[in-house]
Amino acid sequence: MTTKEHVLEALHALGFETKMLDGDTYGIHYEGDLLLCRFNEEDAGFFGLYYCMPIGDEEAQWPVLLANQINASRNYVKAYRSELALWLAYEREMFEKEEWQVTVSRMIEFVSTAVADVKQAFLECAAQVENVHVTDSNLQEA
Amino acid sequence: MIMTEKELLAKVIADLGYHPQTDEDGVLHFMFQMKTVCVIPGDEGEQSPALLLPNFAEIAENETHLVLAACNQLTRETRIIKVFINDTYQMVHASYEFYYCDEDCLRENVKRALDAFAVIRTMYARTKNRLQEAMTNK
Repeated sequence: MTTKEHVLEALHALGFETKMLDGDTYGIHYEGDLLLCRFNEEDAGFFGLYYCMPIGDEEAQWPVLLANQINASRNYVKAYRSELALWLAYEREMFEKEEWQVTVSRMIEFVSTAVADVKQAFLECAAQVENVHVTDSNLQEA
Repeated sequence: MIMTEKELLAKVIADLGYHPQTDEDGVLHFMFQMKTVCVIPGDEGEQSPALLLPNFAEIAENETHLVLAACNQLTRETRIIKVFINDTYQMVHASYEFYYCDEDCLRENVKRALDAFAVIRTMYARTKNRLQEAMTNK
């Protein structure tokens, strides 16, 4: 079986309804959030789990600070800004001998916890800061 | 052949794409978004089953009052879901109890219960944090 088949089988066994968004991307819902599952035909072992949070303001600087904070403090989950969204991602190589349900469920938990943290920080940032400009001093604080 | 309520519940859950199983105690259960949901058939002829989401949150030491307040608020606000703690004051559960008239009605109720169970843990955490902050700021 391929990584994609193993992961999809594990997701179904864990009680997820998977929806194919394109050939290599599937959507699942967890705690009310849409998580994206991505595979790569050219890299058979690859599996990535993503959450996309729209930012809405191209000029806003604070998502960059927030992403940096996540990257500095969280294991496994990385964050980055791409155009009008903040992305959280957990990507890894999967192996044939994985305990697929255990591994996949842990990946989902890691991303979901990061999502909850980011949403909280997002609300706090949005409420307090309208125009944060990245400077040496606030980068050091972050 | 007439199905028992438990068989009908298992059929509806399987039709929705989940995998109902019966444990050694005869309890029907299935995995839903990494949560185990138990199905409790109603009394004979009542057509009033319940879906139970057991142990979805742990209760830390000295936070029983806070958890009780959060359970109370959630039960009041969600209306269709009861949120409560077990006899040993260690875990939080949620349940959805309903009546149904036919299979379609049963299916709709199961879907509603699952929609609520999908987010109840996040709602519980938010409610508890909000209450904690309110108590701290008093």
